[in-house]
Amino acid sequence: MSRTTWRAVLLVPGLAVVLGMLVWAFAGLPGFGDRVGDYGRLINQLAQSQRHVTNFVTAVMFDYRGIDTMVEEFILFTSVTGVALLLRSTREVDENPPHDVVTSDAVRTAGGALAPVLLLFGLWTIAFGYITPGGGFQGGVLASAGALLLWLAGSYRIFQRSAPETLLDAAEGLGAAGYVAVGLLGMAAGGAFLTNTLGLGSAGTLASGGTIAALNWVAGVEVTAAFLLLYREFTQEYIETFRRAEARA
Amino acid sequence: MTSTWTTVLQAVALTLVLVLGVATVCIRSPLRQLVAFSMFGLSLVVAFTTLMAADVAIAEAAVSAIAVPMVLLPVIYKTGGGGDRSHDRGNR
Repeated sequence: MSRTTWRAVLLVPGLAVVLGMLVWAFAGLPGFGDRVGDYGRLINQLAQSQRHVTNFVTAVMFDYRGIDTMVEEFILFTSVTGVALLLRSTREVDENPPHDVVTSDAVRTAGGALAPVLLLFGLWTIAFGYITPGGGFQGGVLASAGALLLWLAGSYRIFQRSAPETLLDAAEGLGAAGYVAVGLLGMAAGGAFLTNTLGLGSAGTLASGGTIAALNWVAGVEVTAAFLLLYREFTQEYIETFRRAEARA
Repeated sequence: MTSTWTTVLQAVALTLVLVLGVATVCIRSPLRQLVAFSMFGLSLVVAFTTLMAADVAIAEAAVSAIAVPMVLLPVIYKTGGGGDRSHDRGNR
């Protein structure tokens, strides 16, 4: 028998077993949209009275499972720091400021009009994260896109000026450290790490949720800074390649 | 009536998730793959929204429409179309 036939002989039974198990597993699943887990039911019953927030997803993220979110935030922090370290170390230092990429009037107008809107939308998504759907992570990415549009519409230099490296580095670090600091606040008050010790306020207003609000904002700052830093490093690579290609032409 | 429309939307969105997901894997040109991936993300956003997972929908929209393309576009450009010669230099 040839090599291919042998492969098929080995492969087909394995695939059949996997397929059989998949069918068996799917047949045992609860009906589509039928099941709400016990944990979800508990959160739905308790979150508003316990934490005075109306978006229970944020309550889970920044309170009941606050430690998971902290680790998640540090994953982002570590990966962005890694990208920055790698790209900055290989970049040639150049005295001349890079050329601006000339864009069309249409792109300039649309981008210029959208940039502040997107920035405001991002800030709103962060601010109301524990009242309506949204939160620090989503809002942070949206806010960073606002600054990115500024680059698309205007010039690279405007983007550079609006997002200076030192400020971004500091904001990213402070966002990550702030999360831990709020966690330590709970320990200082005699509870466990990340215990919600601040005043809970009244549900449905911006002044509610205690440490949920604080953690939401530090996560927002961290994510905005991290993504801006990421875009900055990548666009810098892009611009420099563009320049070198232009210089050769 | 409302629930019927929701079911129809869910069915359409989930079908699109399936089709565009497979398309993202099958397309070989990185630039086109990125566009397909963003559309895949959009179909996921519709699916999450109709399943009442608004928070996840916003996160998916932010990641698939902004974060991933913004990181991958410069990379595709820098590597000259990611090894795909038909998109070399011409498309910025």
